[in-house]
Amino acid sequence: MAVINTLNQLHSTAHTGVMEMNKYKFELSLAAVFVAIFIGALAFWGDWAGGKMTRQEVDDYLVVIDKNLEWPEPMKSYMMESLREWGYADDGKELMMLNMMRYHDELFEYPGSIKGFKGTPKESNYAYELGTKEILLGQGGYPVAWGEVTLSRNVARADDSAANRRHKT
Amino acid sequence: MNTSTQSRSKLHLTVAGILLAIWAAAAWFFYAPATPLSQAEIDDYMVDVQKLLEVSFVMPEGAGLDPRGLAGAMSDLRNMAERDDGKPIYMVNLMKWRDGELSFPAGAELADSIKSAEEADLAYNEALFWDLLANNSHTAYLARVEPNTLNYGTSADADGWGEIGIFRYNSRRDFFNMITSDSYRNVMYLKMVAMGGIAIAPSQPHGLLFNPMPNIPVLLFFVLTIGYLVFLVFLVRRKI
Repeated sequence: MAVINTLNQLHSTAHTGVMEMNKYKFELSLAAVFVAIFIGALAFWGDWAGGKMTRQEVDDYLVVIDKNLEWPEPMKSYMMESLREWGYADDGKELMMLNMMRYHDELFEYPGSIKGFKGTPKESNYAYELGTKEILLGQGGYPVAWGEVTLSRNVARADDSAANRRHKT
Repeated sequence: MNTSTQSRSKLHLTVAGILLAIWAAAAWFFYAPATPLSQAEIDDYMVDVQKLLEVSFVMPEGAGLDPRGLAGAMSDLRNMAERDDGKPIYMVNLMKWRDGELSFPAGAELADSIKSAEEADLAYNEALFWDLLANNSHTAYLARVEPNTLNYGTSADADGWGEIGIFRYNSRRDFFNMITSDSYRNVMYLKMVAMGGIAIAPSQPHGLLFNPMPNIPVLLFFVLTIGYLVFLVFLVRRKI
């Protein structure tokens, strides 16, 4: 008898639950859509389909970069070497790129640079940033912070020799 | 409306009021509008800044990366203060650990217990954690750095960075309050012991709607939640 009562109670509770679910059908559907969007965003910006790059992938990318990058030496070799080392050390996790930038006083012209650009180095950089934003966003990247440096010199500097000398006196 | 419904509504409104008050207090504390520094304030701060520089991190004239010594550092900080527009600043710190044996000033409290540059920097950060908050400031970003930079230049001396820290000050006044405090002066030696090199660039946000941008899925979560709450309010109002 007790078992039957318990089953009846469960049935009654389930029935009430179904009634409640029907009552809040719209809200539950909306919640499901929101959860789906949220998980989609996590997957896209968290690069769930990514994983670590293989050495072969890095080498393949570098072939393309080597072909496209018309930079003077030793800038180019330095960049290629840094990219290779960094690519091989990939752990598959997200990364932040901190860009601390100093403009040239005048436009820097080198073999391979676009001819006829009229503008300041700052405008040139702005054109670069606008031109690359679709590539960045398409890769699940985005600018995290963007700012203008308000002091052309660093507030503080230190190097080993100077600081050691200071402390030993 | 019966008594039970009324008391439930009252409870909901009370909880909402408390949460809103906590949010408003935190928002005001960290983001309250500020006024630019006055000339008298700047002059007062510079007296304390000079004391700080003399006992801590300015390099002897003609040495290191800044040959201008104390006068140069004083001039940089005064310029920054005089250009104050009352808006927040973000201090971008690019840091390099010191190699080799640490060199503590005579009588340094933690000289015996700290063995590495990283430990010294950690002790510095821990000592100033509450001071930073008390000055309406907070850490915006803290990270270890890949050892090699992808600089477009050619010199390898731009490499070897260890850590990035970005700290938000609600105003330059908060920044000067921080660096001229006794507690800051007392632990500044830990930073000097830890750093093989440091570049600190004060900056102001521009060009983005949210700056700095929060983690996008987290931002989306809040946008959706707020959107849903607005939708509920709309439904309730329609029923009334």
